[in-house]
Amino acid sequence: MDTPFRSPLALMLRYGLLSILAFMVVCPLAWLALASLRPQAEIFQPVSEFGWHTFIPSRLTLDNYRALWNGDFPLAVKNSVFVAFMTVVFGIVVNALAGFAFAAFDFRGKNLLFLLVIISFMMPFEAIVLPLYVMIRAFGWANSYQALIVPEIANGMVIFLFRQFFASIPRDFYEAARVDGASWLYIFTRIAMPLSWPTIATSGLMLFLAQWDSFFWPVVAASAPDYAVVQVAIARNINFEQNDWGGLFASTNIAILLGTIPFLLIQRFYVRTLISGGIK
Amino acid sequence: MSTMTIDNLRKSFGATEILRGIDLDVADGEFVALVGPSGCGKSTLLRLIAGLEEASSGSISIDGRDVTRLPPKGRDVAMVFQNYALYPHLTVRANMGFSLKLRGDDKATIDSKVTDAAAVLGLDALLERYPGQLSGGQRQRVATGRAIVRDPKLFLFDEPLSNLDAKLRAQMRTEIKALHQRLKNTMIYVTHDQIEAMTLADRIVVMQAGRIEQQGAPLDLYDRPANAFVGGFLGSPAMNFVKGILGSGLFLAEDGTQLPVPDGFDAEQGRSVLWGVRPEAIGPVDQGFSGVVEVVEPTGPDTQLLVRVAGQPLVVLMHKRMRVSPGDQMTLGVQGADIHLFDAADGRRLHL
Repeated sequence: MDTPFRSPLALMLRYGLLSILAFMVVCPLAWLALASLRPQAEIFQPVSEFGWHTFIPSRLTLDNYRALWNGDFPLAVKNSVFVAFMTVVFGIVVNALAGFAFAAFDFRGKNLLFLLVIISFMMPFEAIVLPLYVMIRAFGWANSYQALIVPEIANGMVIFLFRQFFASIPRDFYEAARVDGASWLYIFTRIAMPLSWPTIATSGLMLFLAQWDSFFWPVVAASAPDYAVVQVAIARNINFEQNDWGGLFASTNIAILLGTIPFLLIQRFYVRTLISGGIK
Repeated sequence: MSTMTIDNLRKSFGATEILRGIDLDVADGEFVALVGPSGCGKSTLLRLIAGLEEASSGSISIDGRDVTRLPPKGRDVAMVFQNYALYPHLTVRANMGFSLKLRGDDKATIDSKVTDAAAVLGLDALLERYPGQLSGGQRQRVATGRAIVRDPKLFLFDEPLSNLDAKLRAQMRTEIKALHQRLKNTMIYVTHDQIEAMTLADRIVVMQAGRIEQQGAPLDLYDRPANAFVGGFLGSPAMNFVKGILGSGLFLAEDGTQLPVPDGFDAEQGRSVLWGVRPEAIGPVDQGFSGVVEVVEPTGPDTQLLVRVAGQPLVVLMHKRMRVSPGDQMTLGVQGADIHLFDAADGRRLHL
């Protein structure tokens, strides 16, 4: 390697600075992870007398997790996983179809419609919560999985991502398939979708995280304990009288860990591109 | 095996008229090349034949059946695209069998047809590869193979060789010609490369600004262009043109230089005309018109000269080596039969 010479001092400064930054980012998470493994009584004790005990617990215990496991948190995880999974599956199909239509066809009002799509993801969700809730109520969906899933399926940002990707596929692919006798649906499922794994991965992740992190809408639309999702269940651990800090930290930890899994699974698609090769 | 008839075909995009009334008959087994400068509508015409664009008016019939309003899959045509459009996520085998699978052929039929086509094109060893693992020439062959397996009524080629380097292009050109002689299918081939058109086609259709300027056998068009555009478009190096007026049994260039006219040519004197002659028709003679050599370009077998005659540079191509240098005076001549005269206003050929 022909890296240019760097003075050791500059290197030390650089890595020193980066280490401090990394520490600042990781520290609260590490503290959170460790705190969840402490006995209730000990959680805040070492903070007041700052020392190495602040970070290293004197005793590790899974009590907090056991308590969670026996409460209704597992149901919340199940709810969240189900809601997020369904949103990802339907969301990818619906948004990819919409994006494909915008990319492949010319139809009256296309630009106006696409503008609305773009506006839809610039609009803060809070602005449409009330009308949306009224609508969901009118459908008789309050406190149901539909209320949690359906409004999140169509996603302007994801439609935009798919449209951009499909528009970047040379039209010759579509046209060659048409001359070969393929229907548009066939072209969508057999040509466009197989080429768009990176976009599918990114979109799936966005849809998943949006659902996994969502709090406001679930509180509004499905606050019954049977439909509580993870974030709602976590928030239940906070109240004015008495805080179950151990339970709060443990549930937060689980939410973070589970939320990371999809990302770890599909991150390799981020750098991968399948487009190369078919065109000159 | 099939014929095609196009009748008064027009196509507009908004207010822009791309095709302005195309009439074309293609005989069974014929190889027709559509040529013209970019923007002349040749690719649009091909896309209309394929069904990728809808005609504004007029009709297209394949084998006597009107297909003007049919979608591409109802026309039984195969098309080879300029950038090949091989599906990158499918192997060569799957790419070639794609249309057969769509048609619902069983696996054994698809396999045997793909294997046959691969043998014809020398792709046997590459069937399990992906397009990204192939060279440009191999991709071109796969694209052709994808068309062959279908055994369509009509083959359409949209500048299939323009993405290859010069050497490979010449080789693939020969392969396509051999393929046509072997398959004897009806083929329509769009190109802007007039050498490709000359060498491949049974018939060349020269287009300009959405109209057919002239069509005919390659050498007929080369020898008797119907107008100055066709004369200038076919042939490389291109035909030389000199502006001037007709005198009595001769041509007067704008600077007064006298140049010969075709034997027995007789037309009104004083008419503004274009005097055209192909570079290889001019040569050194004892008595003729004089010029000054400006540039000498030896290519090996040929020598190409730029000679200033009648105040403008003429390209002279000689199939031998010449000992001349820039600045030399030359006396040049041309056979009467090799001279083309065109009307200066509309470019029309003035004599038979």
